[in-house]
Amino acid sequence: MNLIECVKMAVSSIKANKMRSLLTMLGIIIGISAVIIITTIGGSVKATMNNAFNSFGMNYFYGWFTPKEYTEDVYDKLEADDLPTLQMYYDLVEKYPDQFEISENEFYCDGKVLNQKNDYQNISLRCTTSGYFSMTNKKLAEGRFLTLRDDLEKKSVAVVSQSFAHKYCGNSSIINKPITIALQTGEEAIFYVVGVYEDNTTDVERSSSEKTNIYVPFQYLVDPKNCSSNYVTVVWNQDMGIKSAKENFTRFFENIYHSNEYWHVEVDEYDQEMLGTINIALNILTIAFSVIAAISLLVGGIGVMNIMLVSIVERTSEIGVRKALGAQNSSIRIQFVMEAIMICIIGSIIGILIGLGFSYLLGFVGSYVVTTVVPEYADVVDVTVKPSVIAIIISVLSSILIGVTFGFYPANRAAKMNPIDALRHE
Amino acid sequence: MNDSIISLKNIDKKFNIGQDNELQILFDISLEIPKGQFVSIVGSSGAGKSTLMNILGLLDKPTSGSYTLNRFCTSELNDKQLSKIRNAEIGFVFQTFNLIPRLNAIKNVELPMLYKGVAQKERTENARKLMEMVGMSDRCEHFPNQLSGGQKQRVSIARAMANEPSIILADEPTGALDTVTGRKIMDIFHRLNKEQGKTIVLITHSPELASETDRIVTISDGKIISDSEGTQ
Ligand SMILES: Nc1ncnc2c1ncn2[C@@H]1O[C@H](COP(=O)(O)OP(=O)(O)OP(=O)(O)O)[C@@H](O)[C@H]1O
Ligand SMILES: [Mg+2]
Repeated sequence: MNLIECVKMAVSSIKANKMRSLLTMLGIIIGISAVIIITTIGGSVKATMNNAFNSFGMNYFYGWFTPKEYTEDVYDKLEADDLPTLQMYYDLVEKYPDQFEISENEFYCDGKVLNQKNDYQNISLRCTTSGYFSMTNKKLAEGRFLTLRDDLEKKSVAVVSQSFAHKYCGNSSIINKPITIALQTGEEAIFYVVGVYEDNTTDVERSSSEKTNIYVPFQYLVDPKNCSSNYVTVVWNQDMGIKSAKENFTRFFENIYHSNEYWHVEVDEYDQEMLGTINIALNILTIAFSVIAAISLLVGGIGVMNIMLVSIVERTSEIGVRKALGAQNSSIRIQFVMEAIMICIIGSIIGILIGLGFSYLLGFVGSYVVTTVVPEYADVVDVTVKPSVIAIIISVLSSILIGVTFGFYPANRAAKMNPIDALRHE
Repeated sequence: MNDSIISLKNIDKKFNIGQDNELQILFDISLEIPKGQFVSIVGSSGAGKSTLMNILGLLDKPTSGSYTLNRFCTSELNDKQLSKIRNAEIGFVFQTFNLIPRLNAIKNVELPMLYKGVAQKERTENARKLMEMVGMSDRCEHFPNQLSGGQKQRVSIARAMANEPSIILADEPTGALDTVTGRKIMDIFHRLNKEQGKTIVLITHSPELASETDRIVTISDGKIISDSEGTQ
C-alpha cells in the first residue's frame, strides 16, 4: 500500500462520517486559527507600525549631551569645549560608513532667486546633511538628494522644491541647471540643482506667497568644527538594527568622553516608548492566544484519540475482515494513523482559512477605523495584514504531529487485534 | 499424503484457558485434505465447525496439535507471515458476507489485491473480470446496502478469488439465502472447483448441498465422527 492509497482510504472514511469528523476537528480548528490570528496580528501590527514610523522617520535617535551624574553644581562646571562638535558626528559617520547619517537642517538665511521670467522668488537657504531627507521621509520628484559626499566635498549643489522648479523653468527639467541666489547679506551664491523634492500640501499653499526651502550641503556654509550641539539627530541604517546602532554609537562617544569627569553623550530615543508599550500589549496578547492555542490543540488531540478509539470499536469487524483478507498489522496501523493525521490536517487547513479570514477582517476593520476616526493619520498608517508563512507551515506540521501522537495508540490497538476476535465482534 | 494441501494432526482447541469457564471445543482432530478436493463439513450447531474453519483459515491458532498448510508448519509463522499466507493462499466466504459497507462492490473485490501491493489499474482490471465471472458486472459501483443477499455473496466470492488463492473456505455461504439463490452460489463453487482446481472447504447445514461434494466430514461435539465420500 503506498501513501496515496492510504490518504485516499483515510479521506473516504472521514467523508463517511462528515459531521463527527468536523466536531472532532473543532479543537484543532480553534487552536490553529488562534495561532494564525495571533501571528498575523503580531506581524501586521509590527509591519503597520514600521511603515508608520518609517514615514515619521523612526530609524533615528538623538545624541544627547548630558551630565554623567546629576549633581547640584554640575552645570557650573560646564566648559565650552565639553560640548560635542558636529565634527565628532561626522567622524562617527566616517568610522561606520553606510551605518549612520546625521540629520541636521539649519536655517542659514533668506534670499531671492531671479527666474527666467525675471520674477523674484523668495527662498530660505538651509544647510542640510544627507540624513535629513531620509529622516523626514521627503519624497523625491526628480534627481537625487544631497549625499554625504556632497557635504564632505562642499559641493555647490542644491535640492529645490517642485513648486520652485516649476516657477523657475516651467516644464523643462531644472536638474543640473545653475541657480543664482541673492542672499539677504548682499552676497550672491551659485548652486547647481541636483534634485527636486515633492512639496507637501502645506508647502504648496505657502509657496504662492511665501518662500520655499532650498537645501544645500551643510559644510558648504558651516564648518562643523565650530558648530557644537547638545542634541543631534542620528539616522541609523535599518540593516544594522537598533541594538548594534546604539552600541556603536555609545562606544564611539565613550572613547571621546572617557576622560571627561562630568559629561558624556548618550542615546536618547523617547520616541521608542510608544513602540515599547505596543510591544508589551502584543506580548500579552500573544501569551493569551498561545495558551488558548495550546489548550485547544491538546483538547483537540485528545478528541482525535477519543474518536479514533470509538471508531475502532465500531469498525472492529471491518478490521477483522481486512485481516482475514491479508492486511498486515502495519497496514491496519497506518490506515488509522493516517486517518488521524488527515483529520488533523483538514482541521488545520480549516483553521488556517478561518484564521486568515478573521485577520483580514480585522485588518479591514482597522483601516476603516483609521480612515473614519483618525483621518489625519490615514496617510501615515497604512494598515498592512501580514500573515506569517512560517506560522502556517508550522501549523500544518504540528497538526501532523498531533495526528501521529494521538492517533498512534488507537491505531496500534487496532493493529494488534486478534483477527478472529475482531471478526466475531458484534 | 504428500499431495495434501491441508494437514491437521491431533488438533485441540480450548477457550478461556486457565479460567473457571475453560472450555474445550475441538478434540484431537486429524484431517488430510488433498489438493483440488471439494470437502463439506457438517454437524449440528455448536459442534465446532466454525472453530475448525477459523483454524484452517489461520485466523485462530489451535491449542495443541499441528497444522501444515502447503507444507508450511503454521505454528512457526509470525503474524506477518500468517497475513501473507491468508492474503495469497486463502479466500474466505462468510455466511454474513462481511463486505465493507463504505466501499462499493468493486472496491471490496480489490481489497485483497490492495494488501498484496497490486497497482490500482491492474486491481480494477482484475476486479472487473472477477465481477464478470460471478455475473455481477452490472453492479460494480453498487454499495453493499444496495445489493441483495445473493448478490452480496457473489461479490464476496469474487473477493475471495482476487489473489487466485488455492483454497476457498466457505462457512455456511448459503445460510442466509433462499434455496434458489443458494443453488446458484453452489454452482459457482462447483465451477471454481472443476475449472480452476480450487480446494474448497464448505460448511453447510444442508445435506443436499453436502452430498454434492467430493467428501463429507461430520463433526459432533468437537470430534470427527464420520468421513465419507459424497454421493456424486
Ligand atoms: N471465542 C470463544 N470463546 C468461547 N467459546 C467459544 C468461542 N468461539 C466459539 N466458542 C464456542 O465453541 C462452540 C462451537 O462454536 P462454533 O462456532 O464452532 O460452532 P458451529 O459448529 O460453527 O455452529 P453453527 O452451526 O451454529 O455455526 C460453541 O459452543 C461456542 O460457544
Ligand atoms: Mg458456525
